[in-house]
Amino acid sequence: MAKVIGIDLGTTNSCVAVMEAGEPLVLENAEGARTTPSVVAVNPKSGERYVGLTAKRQAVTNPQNTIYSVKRLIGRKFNEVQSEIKTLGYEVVAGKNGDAAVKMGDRIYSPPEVSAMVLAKLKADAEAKLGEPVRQAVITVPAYFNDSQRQATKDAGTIAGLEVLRIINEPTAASLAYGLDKKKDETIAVYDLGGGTFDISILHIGEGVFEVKSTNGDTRLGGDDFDQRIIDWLATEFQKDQGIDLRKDRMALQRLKEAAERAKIELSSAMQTEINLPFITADASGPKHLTISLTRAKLEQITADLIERTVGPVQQALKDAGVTARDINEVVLVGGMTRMPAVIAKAKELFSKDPHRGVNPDEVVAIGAAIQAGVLQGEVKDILLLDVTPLTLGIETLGGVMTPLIKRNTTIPTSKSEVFTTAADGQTSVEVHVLQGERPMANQNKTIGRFSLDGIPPSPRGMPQIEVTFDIDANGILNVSAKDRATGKSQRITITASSGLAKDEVEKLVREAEAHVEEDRRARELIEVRNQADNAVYQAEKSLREHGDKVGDDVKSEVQRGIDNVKSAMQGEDAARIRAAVDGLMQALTKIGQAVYSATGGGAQPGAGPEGGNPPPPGARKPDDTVEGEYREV
Amino acid sequence: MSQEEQQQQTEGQAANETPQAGPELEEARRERDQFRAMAQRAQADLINYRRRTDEERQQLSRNATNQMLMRFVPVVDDLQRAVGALPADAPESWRQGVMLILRHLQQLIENEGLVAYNPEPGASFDPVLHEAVYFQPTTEHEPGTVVTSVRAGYRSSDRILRPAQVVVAQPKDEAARSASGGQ
Repeated sequence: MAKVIGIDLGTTNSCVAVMEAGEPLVLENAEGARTTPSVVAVNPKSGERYVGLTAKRQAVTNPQNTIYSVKRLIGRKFNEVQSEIKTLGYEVVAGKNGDAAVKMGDRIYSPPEVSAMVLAKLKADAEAKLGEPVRQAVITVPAYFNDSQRQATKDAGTIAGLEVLRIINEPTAASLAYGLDKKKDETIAVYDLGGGTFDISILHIGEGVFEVKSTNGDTRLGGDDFDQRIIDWLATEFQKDQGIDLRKDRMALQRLKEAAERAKIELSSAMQTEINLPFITADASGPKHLTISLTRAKLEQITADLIERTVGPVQQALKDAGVTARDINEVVLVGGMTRMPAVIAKAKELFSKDPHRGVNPDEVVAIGAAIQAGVLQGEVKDILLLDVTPLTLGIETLGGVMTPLIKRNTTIPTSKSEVFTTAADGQTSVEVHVLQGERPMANQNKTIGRFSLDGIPPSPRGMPQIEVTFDIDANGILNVSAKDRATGKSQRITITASSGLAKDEVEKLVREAEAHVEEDRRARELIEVRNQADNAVYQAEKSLREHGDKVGDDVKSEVQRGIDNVKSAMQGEDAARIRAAVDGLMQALTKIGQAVYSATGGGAQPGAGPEGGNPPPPGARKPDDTVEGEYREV
Repeated sequence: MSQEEQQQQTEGQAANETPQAGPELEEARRERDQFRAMAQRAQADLINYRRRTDEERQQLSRNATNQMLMRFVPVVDDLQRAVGALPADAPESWRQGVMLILRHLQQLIENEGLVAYNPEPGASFDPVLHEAVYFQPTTEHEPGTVVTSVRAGYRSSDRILRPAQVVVAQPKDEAARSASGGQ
């Protein structure tokens, strides 16, 4: 079954998201951007059609045939949109049934046809990204859209080749993105300050159903107004300073626009930004440069009245909904302008409540639409509850360490293999001790199984390769197998989920692990040092046996002293002392190495000693070969 | 009895039992189809996801480099403006020195795989590559062609990172019409 996409079909920009493995994901368009301008144009001569960024780029050369903000016209009668027409640079005419329509090239287009061109691009780009055809979508509309505007939006989808499974309200989508559908009996305020419009919606959520209580807004307020304020301020400051009005110079104005937008964005995170436009213009005295510091406080001052314009609609919406600011349980922010700290502060002040943050406000509506799409597409999916392993699963390795194979919270079914080896020379059997828990030491975790793999051909420690595989099926049944790669011999154990733990028990174990972090770290460190020490002693004894005849008694006794030293340090718990003893022993050991090299005329074999500077003599046997577990191969 | 035979027999029995076990069997079949579809979808999801994350990982590292380089491009623009604004009586050696700095910076960017481009006057305006900053009435150029490029565009191997900003030729008569139309 193909994916259902969620589309935020905006007045200025649109955005597409999709559910993937249970997570909403915004899809980039062909140009690599996460939002696409809702602009369409036709070249009157060639008949070529442009959608999105390309349409925007050619707008100044082709204003009559560049259609933007068509959302202001969709599903409305020509006589209803007279006030809109004045602000639009293209021709709006009365179409069929008196509906508003637009002229582009030599044809009349209905607004749904224009929106369909935007939707068709979004669909095509989503298909390219997903690598599969998309046929169905959920599209959002403002909460105040009436039936004919909703129907017209749905028609736009149909024309674009999309089956519109549902039209949902933008504030509802934004609330879904924050998971507010799981709340019961709450009142939600959605404050949406976008590129060109401000919308406030008061919703009520009860038993998973959103009800729009009231909406209000300002259809002529948005990010562009803020940019314009910065441009004007910059131009005025420059004029005061240099006596030149940059607004009259189209090239300079273009640079001012870009700098203003960048400054606005920077001031959402920084307290101050420097606007630096060298060679912005010139007069008889030479080139002029614009360099001004803009502080966040200054920006807030020059845009305070714009932010203040949101207050009236909010109060009206609260009144219409029959609630007061105190009744609002949740505040959701939508639209790029709600990144501005002063806007967030205003929303907080209006509702005396911290707004939800975290989802990108440009994408939050599309994400909500994708979540709705996921619900519609995945009705069967609920049967498939994928579980996770509540605790880490692993085996005991050298020194009583718990080596995890499957970490806690891994989604099952899953399997994991790792190769281990023996800890002693001639070791013919390994014991696999299966553990569950979060602590680093084996004895602090729960034993859930134990078995041995015998018949490993005797060989030096570290040589055999024992592959241990953990496999958990969808029912939580764990199969552990160990296989000797040399002989192919294997042994396995099945541990059923019944030996698992209750939820509170799991939580207890996790808490315990957290409480013992420091102590556990020290214990683990001690084990590691001991393992190193053990390895050093093993090497030193081997060297003595192999090359004892090539060195003097003084060297031999020094090494022997070192060995004894390490062995006695290993009895204790002092990691530092063991480490010092190991260092001493390694130092003494280099003397054997030196003696051997000089005895053979310095003809050392490169690569003969994987363990360091000493040529390792083979065939030594460790007295104690009853080692529980193995150590991890490096 | 081979496994296959066994299976056939089981299926045969199932077929015989259809009248009695109808609803239950129907339900089981429905479930089987549903689970198969789910498994296939999950598998396909995973394969597609892997493919896309692979692509995205590569894209991401390319994008990170490109974005970093693009932050330096405005400095190149400014340096070009500085060169363009050098007074006529500036010593040639100074002009050369500044040009060398500019070229060095451009080379650093181009060595990372970015290509700067400036459409020639008279080239046809293409909004995929160009951004029109204004429309200039002129009879010197074909309408709809580039009068001049005011800021270079940059592209990587697969993407336009910044369109070239251009002035586009407007037919004289159209300019007059739109002016009288109050636009």
